[in-house]
Amino acid sequence: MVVTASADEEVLYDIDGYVGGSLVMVLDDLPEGLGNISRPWAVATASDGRIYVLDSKDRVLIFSPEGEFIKAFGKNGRRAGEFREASALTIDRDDRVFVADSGNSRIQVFDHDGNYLYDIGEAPPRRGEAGPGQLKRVISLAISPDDLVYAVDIDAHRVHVFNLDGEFQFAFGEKGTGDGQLHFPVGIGFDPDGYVYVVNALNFRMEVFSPDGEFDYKFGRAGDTVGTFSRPKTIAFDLDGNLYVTDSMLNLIQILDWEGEYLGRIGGHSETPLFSQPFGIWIDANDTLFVADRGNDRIMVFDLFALD
Amino acid sequence: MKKGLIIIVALSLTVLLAGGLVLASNRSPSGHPAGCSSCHVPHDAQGEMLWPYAPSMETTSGTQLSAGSALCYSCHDGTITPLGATFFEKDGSTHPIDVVPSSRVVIPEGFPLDPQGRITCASCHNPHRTAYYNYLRLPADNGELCVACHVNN
Repeated sequence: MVVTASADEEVLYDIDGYVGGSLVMVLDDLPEGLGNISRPWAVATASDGRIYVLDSKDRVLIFSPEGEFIKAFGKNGRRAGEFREASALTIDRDDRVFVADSGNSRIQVFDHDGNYLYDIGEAPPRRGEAGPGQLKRVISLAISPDDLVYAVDIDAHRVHVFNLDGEFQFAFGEKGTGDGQLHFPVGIGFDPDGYVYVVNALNFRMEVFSPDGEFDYKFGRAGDTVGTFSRPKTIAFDLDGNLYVTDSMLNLIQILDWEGEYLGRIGGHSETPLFSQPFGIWIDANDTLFVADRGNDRIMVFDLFALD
Repeated sequence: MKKGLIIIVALSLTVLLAGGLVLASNRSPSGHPAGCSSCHVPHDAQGEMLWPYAPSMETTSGTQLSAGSALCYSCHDGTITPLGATFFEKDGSTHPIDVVPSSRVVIPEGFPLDPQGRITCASCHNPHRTAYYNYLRLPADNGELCVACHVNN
């Protein structure tokens, strides 16, 4: 299936002449006994191309680069290797798998095969405000180019930063609408210069911070036209430094440059939208885009390519 | 003395209850904790009631969502808020949504249906201003909310 459309036909895949892609794979099937992929939250890949999917059944599903199911790990619970309302996943350069175990107020770290290694983060106090490093509800995870773990805490309106060993480094963000303030932050990612982009979901904009957490600039506004945000959720950058933003109200992925200028979109306005409530996205080292198409219980995989 | 004490306690309870109702109905100027702009787009909105355009969307069970319910689910899907994490799969929490009510049900004034005559989240919940728990249009206690429509049940 070719992921392009002429301007006058129903837009299933719209690229506005900048970035195109081919739909190369859909993951929606599991072996008997495992049910279906259920409302997937996040998807990421390891250096060998293996695909890791976190779904809403508190489990991580591992697939081969060709989409063959390999194994699952995790289940609902409180012990090591178990999750409650796990809602984010990422992978570092050594192929360790980080899972935001939100209901248990921790981030769990696993090896490439799903063996438990250690925890990151503290639980907040039962009473009173949660402090930096104390995890209320982590909704997104990302590893920075300088190997720090960024955890977006949507209920605390804050980003916690840890090193790979789990030691707390610093935090930034507070609830509000001013520059650098966050109002239900969700997605996070890093541009090629290491600047930190935070999806400020209910401020309907992208907040950009320096690598040490200082506010730098912002862009975006509420809307349902090109370049605006309705329910922006998560982000990823392609190899050219373009920003991909999922929007679970408009059911599309917008492609923007580093200043927020609209470049194109995948999915969106249509009688039969390509996505339903898309959430987590990931772009690998080969410019392959993985989308957790949450409302359709599947992962969609696109090869991206530049258009003339 | 005893009578005076009873009057003071009764007055205190009245003030507390009234205060509670006022607080419950004024969590923010819009009535919803996320504010006006979380649902209404001031400029260029392409949907009804200054809502953002809602592409057609089916739930896991195959129900075609109304624009209003899609708007609710865009936060109440376990992402922006954990309240409603499973509503999308269940086509509602305790009540079906985006269905046309049967002829045995009487929908009273003040319980809006969508332009296609379907029950939506907003039929029972008023996201703007309500004195009742969970933004319900009537209290759920003792079935008051239910019998407003299900008159003979």
